[in-house]
Amino acid sequence: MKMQSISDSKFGMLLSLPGLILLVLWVGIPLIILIGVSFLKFDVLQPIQFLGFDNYIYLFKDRVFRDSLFNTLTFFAGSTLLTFILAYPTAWSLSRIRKGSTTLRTFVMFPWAVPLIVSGFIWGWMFNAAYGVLNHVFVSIGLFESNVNFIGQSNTAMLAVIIADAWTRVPFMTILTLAGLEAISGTLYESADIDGADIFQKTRYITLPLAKGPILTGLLITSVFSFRTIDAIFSLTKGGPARGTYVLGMLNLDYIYNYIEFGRAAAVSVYLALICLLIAAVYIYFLLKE
Amino acid sequence: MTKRLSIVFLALVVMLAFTMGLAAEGQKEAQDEQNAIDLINWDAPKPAVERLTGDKYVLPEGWDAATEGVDEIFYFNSGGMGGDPATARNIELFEEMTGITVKWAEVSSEILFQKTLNVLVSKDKSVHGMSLDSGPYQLEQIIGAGWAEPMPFWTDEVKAAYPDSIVPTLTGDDGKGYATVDTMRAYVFYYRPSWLEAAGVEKVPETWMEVREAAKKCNDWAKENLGQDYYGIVFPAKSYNLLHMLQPGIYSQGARVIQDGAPNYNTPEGRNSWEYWTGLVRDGIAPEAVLGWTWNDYQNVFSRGKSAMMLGFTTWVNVCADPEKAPAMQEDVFGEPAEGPIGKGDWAVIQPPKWDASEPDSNRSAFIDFDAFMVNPFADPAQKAAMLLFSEFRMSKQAMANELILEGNEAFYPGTYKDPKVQEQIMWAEPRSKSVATTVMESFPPGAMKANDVLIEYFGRAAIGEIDPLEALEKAQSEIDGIYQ
Repeated sequence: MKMQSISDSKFGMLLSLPGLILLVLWVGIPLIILIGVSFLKFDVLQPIQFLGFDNYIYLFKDRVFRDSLFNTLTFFAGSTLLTFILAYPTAWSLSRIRKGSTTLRTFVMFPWAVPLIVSGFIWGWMFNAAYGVLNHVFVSIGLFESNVNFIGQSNTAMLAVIIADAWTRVPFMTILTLAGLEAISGTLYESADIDGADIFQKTRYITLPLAKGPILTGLLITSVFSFRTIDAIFSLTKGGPARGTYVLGMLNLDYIYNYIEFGRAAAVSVYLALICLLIAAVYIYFLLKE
Repeated sequence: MTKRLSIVFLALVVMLAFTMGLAAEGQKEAQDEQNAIDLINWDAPKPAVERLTGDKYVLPEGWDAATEGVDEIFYFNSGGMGGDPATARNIELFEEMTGITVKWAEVSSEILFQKTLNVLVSKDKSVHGMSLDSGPYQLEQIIGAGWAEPMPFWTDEVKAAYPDSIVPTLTGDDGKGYATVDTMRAYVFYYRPSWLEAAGVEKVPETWMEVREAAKKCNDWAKENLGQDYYGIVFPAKSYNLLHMLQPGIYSQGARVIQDGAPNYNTPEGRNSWEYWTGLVRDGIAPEAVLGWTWNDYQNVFSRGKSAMMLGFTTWVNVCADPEKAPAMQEDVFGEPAEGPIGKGDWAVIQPPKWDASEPDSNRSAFIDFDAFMVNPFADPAQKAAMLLFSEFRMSKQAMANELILEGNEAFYPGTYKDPKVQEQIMWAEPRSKSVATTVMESFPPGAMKANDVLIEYFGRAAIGEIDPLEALEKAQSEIDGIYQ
């Protein structure tokens, strides 16, 4: 019997089917359930009720939700920016170092191996007001007159969690940026040198445009991760002091585990997902823009 | 065609057999459930109240039939077992009595409720018992959700033998008991005699007004003579532990928090207490770091010699008396060995303070904190029966004596204190028993955790000077009122 041949595209779809089924099972169905629950009053004490958009409206008007949204956006912006500020020069340096580059690249990867929750604890000890090494150094060199309670003040606590989070993301961003940098031909820089361009001009007109793809991809992933992972905040400040580092992820956690209001927790999750989608859309727009 | 029909017929028969088998299994399970716990006669060989309150706990009749086939039971322990020597000893005793091994997971109090909730929502059978470390704030919701197994040993006679300030919290609207007390802690006031003397405090403070004055002197002296990380007084302001400071401030004025079924902190007494505790931080008498301290942190700060005073658990007498756990307590503030009032180091305890001199001594009141213990209603029947026995044993006089002596927790069964053998082994028996006698226990309605979080947030903002304290309290109370509307 002659075997019927199928087209490449059909064959590709057939091979993608198992992955698609898994995606539907692990992502699609839970997402639909989540959205469904967000329209319910679901607090285990009273019968489940359909509320329509009441949960969303409640959250929109709720001061705690708005404050935690502001904190979330601050955390996202701070963590992403700091990650990039540290990763770009690191990647740039690694791309130019030849001797010992393998060893250096390995060292750069170390923070990535540290779980975020452990990072929070480590930085918590370093920021400690009484015994922290940072206070010791800053007071010794005369930068501060006395110990500073970094985690005890809302503004410095936010900076502390941003540092604890960004520190673990720098290696990943560095690798992606490095890949982008190494794909740029050296002759372009040679030509720029001949034309008398300085380092900032080379970065602006050659490096960033040509490495845009990997950099934006790295920023996108870093951004989305900063929304969804609250490990460093949980271990460092637990959202304090006085909810100064209380982000939407913590609010979600509280609605599920402390207040036992699953409907509102689901609504918080949906808001978070929509914000992530919006940010991803912005990145993808710039990524695809010629 | 005939072959296909045969295949279809065979498939239908198999499906029918499978379905009937499942139904039969379910019926058998339901029957087992009814039979296992019902096999226990809680009032035999003696009434439950006598089995519990005698010098030695007596297992109820039928316990062996009910737990047939059960080799081990498993529960979530609040915190590490290293800090629970009484629990460890009680487990040994239970294992000797029943031959059933008790296994546990040490769960940090920060995630205990989360893990418990996971078990209950997923109807996980593998965890048979759980502790709730914020019993007063969580129990009503858990019981209301049908997430706790009724405990048949809570007869009317048993209820009458246990504190009537706590038993209603463990009881559902149907009158059944759904939890026992895992561990119970009253509060006493700790101080360092040498520190007070060095700072020029002439009299041990007995009112909160005197405490503030003394703490300021101790703080000022310490900053000059000991270092920047020594404090006049410490307390926890993270998580619900803050309430255990605010509430005594209110109770010491003869008032209560729960009014018309909801918490109200914006009363004259509430405002006094609020201003008091925020003021300690604002005026630098207590460090800002308290905003990040839980019940364990601030008491460790005291037992490591960094604070002159604290309102702490009675449990901490055992910690302070232990030279290994609290070496700093064995010396005075000048670093010289010190025996102190009872020969256990430079520290002492008194009953919690009253608000000021105008209040009667009966207002020397603090909060009583307890971890509740409940049985997973979704566990297998025989395992539930075994866990019920374990729960019952842990509230017996025999087990409570171990809690008092080995761990410094208070005894859920009040009669334990009257035992002369127990009395001679407890440190600071008088202030502790007085504290238990005047303690206040309020049960908080569902929504309490959310209300607590609002209060804690505004407390922090007021304490660091971001907002005026009374304005913060008004805003907090307004949001709390919104939760209970």
